[in-house]
Amino acid sequence: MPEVVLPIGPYHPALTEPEFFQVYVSGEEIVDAKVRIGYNHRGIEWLAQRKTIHQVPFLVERICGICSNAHPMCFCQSVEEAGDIVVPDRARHIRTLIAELERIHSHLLWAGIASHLIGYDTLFMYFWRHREPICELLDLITGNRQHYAINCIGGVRRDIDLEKYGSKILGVLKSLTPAVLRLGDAVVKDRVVKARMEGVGILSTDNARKYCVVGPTARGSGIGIDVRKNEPYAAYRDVGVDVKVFTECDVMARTLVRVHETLESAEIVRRTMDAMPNGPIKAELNGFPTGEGVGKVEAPRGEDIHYVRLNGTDKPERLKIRAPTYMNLGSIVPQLVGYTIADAPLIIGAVDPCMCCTDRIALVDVRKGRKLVLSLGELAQKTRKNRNPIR
Amino acid sequence: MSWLDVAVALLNTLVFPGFLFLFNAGFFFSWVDRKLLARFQERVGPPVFQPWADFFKLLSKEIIIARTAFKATFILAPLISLIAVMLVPLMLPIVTPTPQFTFIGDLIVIVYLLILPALAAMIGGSASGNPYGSIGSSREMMLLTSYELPFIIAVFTVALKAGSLRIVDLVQYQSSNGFLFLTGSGFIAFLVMLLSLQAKLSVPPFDIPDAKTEIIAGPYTEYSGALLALFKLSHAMLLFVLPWFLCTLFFGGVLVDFSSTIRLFVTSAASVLKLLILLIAMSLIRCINPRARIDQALRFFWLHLTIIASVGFGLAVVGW
Repeated sequence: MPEVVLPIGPYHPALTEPEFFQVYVSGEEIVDAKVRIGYNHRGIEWLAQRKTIHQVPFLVERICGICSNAHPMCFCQSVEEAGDIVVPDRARHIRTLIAELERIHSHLLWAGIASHLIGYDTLFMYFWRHREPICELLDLITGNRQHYAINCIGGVRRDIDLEKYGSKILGVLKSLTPAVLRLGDAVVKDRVVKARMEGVGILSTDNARKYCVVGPTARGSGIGIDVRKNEPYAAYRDVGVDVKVFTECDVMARTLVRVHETLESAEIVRRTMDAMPNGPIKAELNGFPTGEGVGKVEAPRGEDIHYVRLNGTDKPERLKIRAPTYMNLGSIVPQLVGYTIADAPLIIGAVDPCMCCTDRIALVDVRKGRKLVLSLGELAQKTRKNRNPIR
Repeated sequence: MSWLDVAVALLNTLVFPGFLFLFNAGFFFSWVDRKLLARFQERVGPPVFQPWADFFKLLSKEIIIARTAFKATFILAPLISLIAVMLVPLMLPIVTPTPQFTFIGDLIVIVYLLILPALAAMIGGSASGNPYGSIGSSREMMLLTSYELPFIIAVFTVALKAGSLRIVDLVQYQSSNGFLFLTGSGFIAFLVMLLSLQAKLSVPPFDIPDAKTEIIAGPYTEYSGALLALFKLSHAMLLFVLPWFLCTLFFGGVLVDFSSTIRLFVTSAASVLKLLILLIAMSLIRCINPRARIDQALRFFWLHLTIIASVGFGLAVVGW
């Protein structure tokens, strides 16, 4: 059978965002694949360099609607590292609380989408039904279902009144845990689901290491990395994290990692609430810090890194964002080869790609109708030649 | 053949139980199906008129024919699909035990006509010149060759049991000997057919040819406007015709008796109930299953279901 190029993307019903997988198929079997990114570039880093460091958290929050706590938290941590700002205990705990609630809603969202990708719409609806109370909870304690706007440099913007909302949070978590266990069972025990997920999209531990994958993708391939455990930030050192690693290396393992993490996140929220200290929620800031800082956060999809260089003015001199999906995306190619078109959406979906997080450098020349995906060096050269190339 | 015969034949084809009746019954059943699915999934579901609204909206849309498409076949495919489904009820008894067109072997003709929608999708998909369309067509072809064998074995189990290839005889056999569903071989044939119908309707777990998260809409990817509406219509009609066919084969048929008001009421209520129960069974299977992969579906039909269907046929030979 001759080879056919089957485009999955830039616009495809299986993908919620513009991304492009050029899949070479022979009949139903995939023989090769290419990943192209850069369809979702918005120039956030460029924008960040033109805003004050107190505005940037709200800008980087808009990078992604799902990990909308991970990015600002990461940025704030990088600035705090550069300026040696000590975050008060209560603020650290509030950050942890929001981050874990966010992880729960993100993983439930993923589980729903994964069910949809294998055509199991009933499970999709159930997963999203149980995600809804979490979003409402976040709305209650931060004021927004997404984009919580809770982080600011040196702490958090809003206090959480645990006396008022504590019972409500615990109530939601109490009904969440059995629901997730039940739905997880529906995934693990259903024969057709098992047939679709087990042994599909194998990413061996070696390959996972080579491609430097992060987050649940790594933990499903036997690599136990988790920023919360390895380099604890916020209140994770105090409340502790149980990182579970699966060695089956297939889509099922990645699913189990996420199911387990959802349950663990609910536990962490409970522990954080128990350990919540009293005190201020924000550190006193004097002036603008100078120097370099790196923030690391375990976003729902893996390790998120923000690098910031500050020069004592109100605006960051440079902000570099490396989202987890950027690391995971490349590993899709060895996962796809040898499987069928029917498996492709699930395999792509199983790393939980978040393109709006990933796309940092791209340039579209509309007049020439040409698309350039530039490296950092090329972009720098271009910037030197022309003062305002991106506009 | 007199003019009256021609007029009656036309009326049968276009109004009842042909096009117009099927048009409304099919859309009503597709609404019931959608609503049931929504309720199973804890959603609200569409209002009653939604399928009609969808259809008429599609009719008003522009028909786009891709430059790569082979025009004549591309346009003909939905018509073939629609006409094939429309002709099936002419051979199924509804008002009297004897339908308008009845002859020895009409069961075989129905089996052929029910293949045509899948065939039309295949033709349309490959004529569209779209990679998703051609992959959808090849999947449809593989699926068709696999589910058709157990389906036909099940049909012949029923025919053997009733001793006739004429649908009228099947219905009469059941009215004197009880539902075929209640016999051993009949029950097995029913289960086999129910699962094959999921593939015929291309709904989960066998919605492989038009799996939207994999290959957009498969054979229907390039279809738009009225042509797509015709495909949707024939699919909605199938949703009514297939339970009806199943009902005729296993549950004594859908027979409305006009001899008295009370009999009319009882028989029509019973008929609708039978059809709805079958529809609920189909919706439930659809609701609790994810999509199988094509190789898994092939193994299921060729191996498991064919063996089960053969066992049913064997039972019918023995006389169970």
